Amino acid sequence: MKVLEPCEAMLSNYEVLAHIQEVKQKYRDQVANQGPAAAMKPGNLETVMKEIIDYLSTTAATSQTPEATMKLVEDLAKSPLQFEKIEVLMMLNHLPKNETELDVLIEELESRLSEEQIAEVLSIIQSASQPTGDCDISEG
Amino acid sequence: MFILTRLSDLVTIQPTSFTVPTRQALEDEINTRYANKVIHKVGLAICLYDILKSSDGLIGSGTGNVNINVEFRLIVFRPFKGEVITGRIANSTPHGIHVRLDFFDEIFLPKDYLFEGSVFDHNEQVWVWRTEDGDELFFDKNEMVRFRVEEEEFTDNTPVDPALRDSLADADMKPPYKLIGSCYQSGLGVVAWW
Repeated sequence: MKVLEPCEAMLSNYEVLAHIQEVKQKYRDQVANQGPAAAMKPGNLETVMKEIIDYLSTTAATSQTPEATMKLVEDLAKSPLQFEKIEVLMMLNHLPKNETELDVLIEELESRLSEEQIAEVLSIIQSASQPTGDCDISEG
Repeated sequence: MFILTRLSDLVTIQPTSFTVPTRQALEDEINTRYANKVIHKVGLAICLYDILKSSDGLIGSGTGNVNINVEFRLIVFRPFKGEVITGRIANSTPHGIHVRLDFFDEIFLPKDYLFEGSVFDHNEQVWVWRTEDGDELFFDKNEMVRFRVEEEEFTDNTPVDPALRDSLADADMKPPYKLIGSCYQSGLGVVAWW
């Protein structure tokens, strides 16, 4: 075994959940096409996939969709607030609902952002966590 | 929390798997080898993400096994320092709080990293945060708790020379990958508080 690149990219919780559900679906299709013998998957894989799904289903990842996720990342990147990549990632994973929750994720929130900006960021996140069609993002 | 790691490895496929499509046989073999296992200094491997390249299969003399060099990416659990994660309280001791995620149990919040004014209640076996306002907030078992990753610790558990093993008996018990977390900023702690 050789580690070529220890950290090639970071994945959001949603991406991991989507990948694992895809793998599970692929295995179900194999069983349908090739019979139950194809269902013999490594036990350690089954365990970890179940546990990951259990864990991620308690997080915001279950309610996310690819479109809403992309839009949130774009909206946050577009804003002139200069978030770090890892800050965007954490906001995506946690979808903070109030200022205290946001403060934990963003370093020195109060000195970097004004109150209006904080409210704007929260409303961007809010609109992404409720993918119910068209919702207006109030600016400022 | 999750990263992609690129690895290369020599994968051996046994003749019993020759009826399976090669791609699937490779995926199964890689998952058997890595899924749910800690890779030293990399993190806890979750499962295969994708296969990037593979060489032609070569049969070694003496066995019927096919050997293939494969380059692939794994999903790995490796939170960065400073990342905020939610987990469940597994149990509490006077030394601190053990937190678990469904797939990973080795997370510890030492008492020095808890809120100022936290005390351990020996009767209830829980940590209690006495706030400045005089409120008592409990770190109850099984409560969802939000914490910040402060340190990570890898222990290399490769087998040692039996002649030396006695002196290292204690060290053998250490988990291969362990996280130390903190809970002293408003917004952290039990999720329901905020």
